Amino acid sequence: MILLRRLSGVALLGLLAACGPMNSNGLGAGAAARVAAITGLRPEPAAQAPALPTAALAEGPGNVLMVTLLGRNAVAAMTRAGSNNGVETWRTAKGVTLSFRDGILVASRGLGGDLMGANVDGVLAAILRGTGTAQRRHAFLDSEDQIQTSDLTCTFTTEAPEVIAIATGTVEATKVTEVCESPVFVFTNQYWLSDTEIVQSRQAVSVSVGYIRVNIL
Amino acid sequence: MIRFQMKIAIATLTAAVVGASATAQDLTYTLYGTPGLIEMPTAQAAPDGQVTASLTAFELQQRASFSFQLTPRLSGTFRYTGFPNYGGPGRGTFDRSFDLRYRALDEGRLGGWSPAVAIGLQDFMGTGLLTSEYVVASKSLGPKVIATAGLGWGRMGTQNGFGNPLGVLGAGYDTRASSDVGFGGKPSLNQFFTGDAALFGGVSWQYSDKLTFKAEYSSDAYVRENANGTIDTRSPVNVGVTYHWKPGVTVDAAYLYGSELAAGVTFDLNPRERAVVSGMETAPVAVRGRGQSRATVESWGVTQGASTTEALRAGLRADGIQLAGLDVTDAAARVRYTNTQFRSEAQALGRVARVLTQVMPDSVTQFTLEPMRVGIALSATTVNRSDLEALENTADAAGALMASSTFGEAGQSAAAPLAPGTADPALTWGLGPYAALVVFNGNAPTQVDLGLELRGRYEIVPSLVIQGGVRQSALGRRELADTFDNPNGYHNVRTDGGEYGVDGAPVVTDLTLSYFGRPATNLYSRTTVGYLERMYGGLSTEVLWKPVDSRLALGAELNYARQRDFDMGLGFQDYDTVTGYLSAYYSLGNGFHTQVDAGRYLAGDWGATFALDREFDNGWKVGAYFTLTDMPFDEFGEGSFDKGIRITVPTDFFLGTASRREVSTKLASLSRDGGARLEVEGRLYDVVRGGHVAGPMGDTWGRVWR
Repeated sequence: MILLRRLSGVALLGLLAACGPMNSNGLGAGAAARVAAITGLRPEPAAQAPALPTAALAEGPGNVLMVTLLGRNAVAAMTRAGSNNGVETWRTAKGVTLSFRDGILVASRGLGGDLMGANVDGVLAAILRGTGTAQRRHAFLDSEDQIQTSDLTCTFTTEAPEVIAIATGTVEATKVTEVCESPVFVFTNQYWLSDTEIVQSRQAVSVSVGYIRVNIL
Repeated sequence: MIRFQMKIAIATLTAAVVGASATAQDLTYTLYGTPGLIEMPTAQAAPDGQVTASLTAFELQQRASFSFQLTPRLSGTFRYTGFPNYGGPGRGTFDRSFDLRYRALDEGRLGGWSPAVAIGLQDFMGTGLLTSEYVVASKSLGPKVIATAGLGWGRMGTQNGFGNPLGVLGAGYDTRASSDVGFGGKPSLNQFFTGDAALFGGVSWQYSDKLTFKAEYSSDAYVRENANGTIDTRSPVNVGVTYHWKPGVTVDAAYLYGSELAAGVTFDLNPRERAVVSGMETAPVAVRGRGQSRATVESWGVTQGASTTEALRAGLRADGIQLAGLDVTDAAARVRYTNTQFRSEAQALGRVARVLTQVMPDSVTQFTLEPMRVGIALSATTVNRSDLEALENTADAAGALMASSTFGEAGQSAAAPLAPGTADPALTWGLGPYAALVVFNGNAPTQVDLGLELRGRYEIVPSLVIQGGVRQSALGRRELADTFDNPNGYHNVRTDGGEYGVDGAPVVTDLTLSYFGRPATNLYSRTTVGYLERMYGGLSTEVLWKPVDSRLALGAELNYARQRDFDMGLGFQDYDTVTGYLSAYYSLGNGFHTQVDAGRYLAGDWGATFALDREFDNGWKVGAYFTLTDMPFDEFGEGSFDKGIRITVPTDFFLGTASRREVSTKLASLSRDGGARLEVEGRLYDVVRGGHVAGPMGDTWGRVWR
């Protein structure tokens, strides 16, 4: 009987969600974290049609990015969040940002395995040339909060044009492929060009995040 | 599919061609929770920094082990073992044990033929029911098989033992001194590598990624257990299988000595490998280039025309940072803030800097950032606005920003402080469940207490804080665990710890008024009065000298403590005392930190506490400490002196989002009366060092742009 009462008390505690800004000693969070660590269950963004930022869309073409996380089957619309030193930063409603220099991804924030920064001098010129090589340097955080940089050598080739959908219809776009290699990893980016403008791209973020596809609305 | 492939596969292939290494592949654990076969060790080591917890059982012994790979070569294990039939059928006991092992030689170090070699001490201090020493060699035979042979002493020298080969060094090695148990807890130096030795060995075969089969010849004859009839050793050969259930979890089954079934589960985790490396917390605001619009401030719920202070306060609040003070001159801004969200103070600093680019007039070219904790400013970092603009999103941004910024002590004056309370609540509270694990309490291995806890905290001013907590156990009245009766000439300053709060009524865990200050350059102070902890109330005072960029810190603490009533209400008992310490803290580099505290402890005994911690830059801490005082070992009782292992786990490591929360656990020997200290919240060293964001002490600068 006493045991039963004790057990019911424990069960009640389990049901009771911790409340208040200080939330006791973090017991709930700690236990959940341990369960997540053991089972490997982690929150994954569900694939769903993104809510479109109508105000930004109304400002005309070029004000919304549609970004697909290819490895996670997730899509999000992004709007402009700032401009500094030639880099445009775009933000989702949930607070993830991607930053592009001339359409080339140089940083992500909020994806879990972020690209912390990138030097991409010469990459745009190589894309427009559609041939040759360029150097990149990418920065990532490691498990101990230190920045690790990777120097990559990238080789560009022009492939057959493809017809792709853009905001105002379809366009026949030149496709340029970029293969980048470092001693640690390799990735292959693709860019679709209409004249000298990148109208669609597939670009690597990091080993854990994988690739994004970027379309301009 | 995703062609973003790691080249690591190629690297592994190369290693296999060059020569497989017994230290790198297929690590399995013994029933003792250490790298090895079934009961016998191998020369393998866990990856650097690995934390391993293991629960194993067979009829004679149940073992709970905690291991830490302190360096790539040195590891330690703390173990708690139940012996239900130690004194004969039904006459059980419990025992704690410590192991150390050192991998002296890596495989292939002396040429392709040479094995890895490790030397180990098992249960080398304490009562010594499992005491053994060993030297062991392991060699890979191809990529899937590891062969092991070793020489053991002590327990591991009992199966077909022979005269000690170390006897050539002196007659003292020939016979093993009888275990001088006394009160345990002391290294059994006179026993190390003495008495008969015996050979052991075995082989492991990695059948697949999931399954490894193991067989061994054990040199532990279980002499005492055979004599009292609780085991029947029919064969020295043990066989077992390890199932790698999923990353971090392995399950073991084994058949021991021709008569016993055993099972075990091992959890391992490496603080140096985080799943969500950069965290899932939302992105910071971008740097606003000068000349661009302030439109971002609208996302914080203020208008573009809002005052700089209001916009700054709103922008910081969006990141869980409280604005405490702001000075703006023509070209420079100085801001004081308290970070409540980010474990990494550098990450908070980077966010404050970016918010400043959004809200400050374009004429301001320099930002000085002063993080605060407990109401005192702890350091000052001055960054150039032009560097923020030029470096954002570049690959070398973190290193370059550190190089171009200056770091120093926070300004002594807190000019233009902002009134608290206008935006950030001075009162915070929380109601939630708690669980307290009472481990190794006398004869009971664990006692769990569960219940509800209400905590509150009120800032009269940011550096003057009232806080407290009340708990109600859900389990009602608890039975006291059997404790060793240990009469000595000292007051029971900790021995009676189990008596506190056993009656199941609401208890006051603590209720204190604290004041923190910065009385002079590089000097910090704390005064705490009230119900300091569950067993003591009183007055605690402390000063700390700690320059921002110094590896050395010095502290002094003086306390008056009076023992609280067992019911943990507001009353006190008769015992009171004065305790105090002089402390030195030194950062050895590579994440190793030492601390020495010398002074007078709760029971009036004089002595010193020595501690060594390995701190990972991501917030994990694993350490050990011991305290020696003038209280004689026989008066201290079992364990002889106070010692223990402590571990701190940052919750953001698992959650993947920003949090300042951490969980700390201490595996101590019996809590007794010698070397006992007051538990006081907010000791200065951790508080102050946490606010030193760069230089040798600030290890998380890589997050400044996160």
